[in-house]
Amino acid sequence: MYRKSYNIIEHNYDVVVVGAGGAGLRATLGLVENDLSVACLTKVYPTRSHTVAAQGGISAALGNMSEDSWKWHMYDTVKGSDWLGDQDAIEYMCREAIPAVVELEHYGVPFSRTTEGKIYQRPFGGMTTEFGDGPPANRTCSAADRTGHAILHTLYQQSLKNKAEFFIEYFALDLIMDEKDGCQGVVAWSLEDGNLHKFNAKKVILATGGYGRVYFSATSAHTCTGDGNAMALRAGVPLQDMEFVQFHPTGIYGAGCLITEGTRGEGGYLTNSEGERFMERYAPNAKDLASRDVVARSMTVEINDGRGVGKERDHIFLHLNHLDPNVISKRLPGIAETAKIFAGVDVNKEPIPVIPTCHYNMGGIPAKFTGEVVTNTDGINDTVVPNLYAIGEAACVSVHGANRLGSNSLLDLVVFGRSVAHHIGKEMKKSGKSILSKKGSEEKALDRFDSLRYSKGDVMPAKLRLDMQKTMQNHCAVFRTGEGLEKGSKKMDEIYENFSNVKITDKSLIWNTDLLETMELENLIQQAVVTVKSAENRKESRGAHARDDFRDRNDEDWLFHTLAWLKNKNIKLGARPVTLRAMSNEVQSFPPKARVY
Amino acid sequence: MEAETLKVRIKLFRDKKSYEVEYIYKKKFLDERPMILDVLLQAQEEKIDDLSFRYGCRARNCGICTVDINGKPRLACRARVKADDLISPLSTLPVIKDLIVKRDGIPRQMIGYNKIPSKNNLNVEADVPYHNLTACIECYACLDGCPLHKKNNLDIKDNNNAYPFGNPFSFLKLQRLYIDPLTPEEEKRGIIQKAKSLGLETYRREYKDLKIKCGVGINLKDEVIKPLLEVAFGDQIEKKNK
Repeated sequence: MYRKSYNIIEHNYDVVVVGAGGAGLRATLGLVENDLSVACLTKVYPTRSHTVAAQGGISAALGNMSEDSWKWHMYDTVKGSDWLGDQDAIEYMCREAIPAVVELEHYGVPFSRTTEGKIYQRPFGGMTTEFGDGPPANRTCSAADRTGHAILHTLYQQSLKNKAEFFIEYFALDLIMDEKDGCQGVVAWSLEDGNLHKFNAKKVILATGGYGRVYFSATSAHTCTGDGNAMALRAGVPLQDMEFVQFHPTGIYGAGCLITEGTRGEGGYLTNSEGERFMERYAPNAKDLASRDVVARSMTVEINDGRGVGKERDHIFLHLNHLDPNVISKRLPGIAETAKIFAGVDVNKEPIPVIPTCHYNMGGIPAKFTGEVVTNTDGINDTVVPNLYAIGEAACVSVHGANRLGSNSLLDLVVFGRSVAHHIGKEMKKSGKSILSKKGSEEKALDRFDSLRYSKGDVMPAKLRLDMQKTMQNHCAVFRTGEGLEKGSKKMDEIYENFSNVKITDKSLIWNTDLLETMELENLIQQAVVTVKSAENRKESRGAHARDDFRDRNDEDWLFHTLAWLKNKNIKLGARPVTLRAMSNEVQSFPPKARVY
Repeated sequence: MEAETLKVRIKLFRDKKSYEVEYIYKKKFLDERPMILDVLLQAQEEKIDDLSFRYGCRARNCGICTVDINGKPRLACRARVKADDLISPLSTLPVIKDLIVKRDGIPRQMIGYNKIPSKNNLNVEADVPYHNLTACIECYACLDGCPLHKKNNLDIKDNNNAYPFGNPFSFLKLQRLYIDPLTPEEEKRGIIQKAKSLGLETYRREYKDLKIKCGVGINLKDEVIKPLLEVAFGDQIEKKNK
C-alpha cells in the first residue's frame, strides 16, 4: 500500500524525556539545571500523570520520628524483593533517598509535619528496623494522602521556572534507532494539531510508567499503557522480570480505586466474614503491615476458602472506623472522600469493601542505576544500549525485584530521575557531540502509524482490549498455575494475531482517540504477551509471582532476572544474573534466606 | 423497580459544527448508579467508537475529565448520571473536538509565577489554609460563573499565549504562593502585582454576587479571593459588603 505522505516537523535537543510523571519531571528538572536543552514529551498534562494518584508517601530513612538507618531500609527492600532485587542498586536508592527527599523539600513539596516542624513519617508495609528484628519503622514521608500530587505539582512548577520545554499531549510512536549509535530520537504525534514530529536528540530517556491497563481491574489510570516499554521492545531491547506484577491489597471492590496502604500504617486493619483479623495468622509479626504480595495472597486465600464478605463472599473489609476521626481528617482526608464516592461508605462508621487490584509493574526496561539501558548482546550481559535511558516504573533497575514495598515507588522515581540527570550532565560535558539526524530514519515509525490508521480489519479494538484484560485477569493474577498460564499464553497469542485485523473508524489526525487508543492497545498487547510468557516460564513462587504448582522459591534454579525479546510476534526468553553484592563496603550484602513477616 | 437503562444526550463537535446524539446506557447490574465516565466509555464502546474525551485516573485525582453536565462543570469520574442528562464540552474553554477543549491558555497564565523559593530550612510548617489549597486538582470547574474569565477572547490563535484575564484557579495558585511560609516578603509584592494584572479588581466590585464553585470543594471565596482582596486593596472589601 502506498503510504500517505506526512509533513514532518523536526526538532533538535540535547535530551528528550518521554513522560512527565515523577521520574520524567525530576529528570527534566535535573537536566535543565545542568544547562542542557531538554524537551519533555507527554501524552497527558504533566500534573495529570499517574504519579498524581500516589497517596501514601515516599520512603527515606530520615529518622524524624524514631531511630532509622538507610541500611535497615536497604535490608527491608531486599527482603521485600524476595532477593530478586539487585543489591547494588538497592543500596544506591536507599542511601540517596535521604538527600533526594531533602531536595524535594527544598524544591517546595508541602510535606506534612510533626509538631517540631520535621517531615511527618508514617509506618508502611514491610518497613522495619534493626534488619527486620526491630519494631516497624516510621519511614514514609507524606503530604497528607496526596503525596504524589504534591511532588508532581512542585516538580512541574520548578521545571517551568527553569525553562524546560514541554510538548504536551504528544504521543510518542517509536524510538529512532541506529545499529551503531543506538538511540537517536523519537517520533511523536501531536494530538491537538494532528502533526507528526521528529525529535532528534543526543540522549533519550524513557519515563513512561507502567502498563496496569493490561488487567481488567487496576488502580492504574487509563493512561498507564507502558508505551515506552513497547517502544523498547520494538526497538529490539528486551524487557526484564515482566512476570512480577503487584496486586495492591486494598483496591475498592468494584470501582478499583486505590485506598492507600497508609490507612494500615495509621492503624487500619482487614477482616474476613467471621470478623477475624486474619493477617495475624499469615504474618504474626507484621500483621496488616506485611509486604503487599503477602497481604494480597492472604486475602485471596480467605476468599477462596469461603471467608470473603458481601453477598458473593468475594471481597474483604478494611476497617478505619476505630481510628480517631481527627487522624482521618488530617492524615487521610482524600481516602475518606474516595470511600464515600466510590464505595458509598462513611469510613468513620463502616468498613471499606476492598479486593487485591493490579497496581504496579516491577518489570520493565533493564537499566543500570545511572538509567543507562542494558541488554544482552551475543551472550554478553549488561551491554549498554547507547544513548537510551529508562527510569521510574518503566525501568527495571532492579530495586523492587519480585515485589515492591509501598512508598518505594515515589522514591524510585525521584532517586533515579535525579541520578540519570547527574549522569547525563557529566557525560555531555565530556562529549559535546552534535545531534545526528539521518534522513528517513523516521520511516519505520511512520509506516506503523500509517498502516494502523488505514487498517481495513473488522475487529473492534474495545473487544480485543476486553479479551486481553479478561485473559490476564483470569490466568495471570495473584495466584497462577501451569495450566492457567498455558491457556493464557495461547489466548494472548490469538489476541495478538487478531490485532492485525483491527478496525479503525476515525481516520482524522486531530484528537483521534480511536487511533490513539488502538496504538496504546498494541503497546498493551505486546507487554501482556511478554508478561504471560515470562510467568509461564518461571517455575517457582517468588514475591508477586505465586504459582500453585510450584509453591516455593527455588534459588538454585531461578535466582535470575528474566529477559524477554519480541521478534516477529514471537517471544525469546533469556536470563540475567541477580547482583547479590552491595555497592560499597559500608554495608554487608544480604544473602538469600526464608522470607517471613 | 428501577430502570435498567438510562438515556443521556451527548453534544459532539465535529467539522466546526456541533450536534447532539442520544445514547441509552445499559446498566451493568440493576441498582447500578453509574458515573458520567461509565456512560461515555460505554457509548464509545457500543455506539460512537470515535467519540473523543479526556480521562485519566478514574478516581478524581487527576482533574482532566471535566465536562459540562446540564451546563454545569463536573468531573465525569465522580458525577452520577441522571436520566436525560446533557453531556457537553466545558463551555468556558474553546472546543477542539467532541468533548475535548483547549486548556493550555489557563496554565500558561502562571508561567513565570512558579517562584517556589528553593531554600527550605526543614523546620517550617505551613498553616492549614495553605495545605487546603494544595488539594486543587486543576479541573477548571471554577471557570464557570467567573466574571473575569468571561472577558477573555477564548479563541487565542497562538499556542504560546495565555488568557489575559484571571480566574479562581490562577488566583488560587497565587494565594498559595503568597501564604507559603517560604516566600520572601519582596516576592509577595510581585504576587499581588500579578493578581492585579490578571484583573483582581473586578472581583472586588463583584465579590458579593460572585458565584464560583470548586470541583473538589475548596472554599474559593473565603480561602482565595477574600484574602487576596484584603492584601491587595486593604480592608475595603469588608466595609463595602456591610
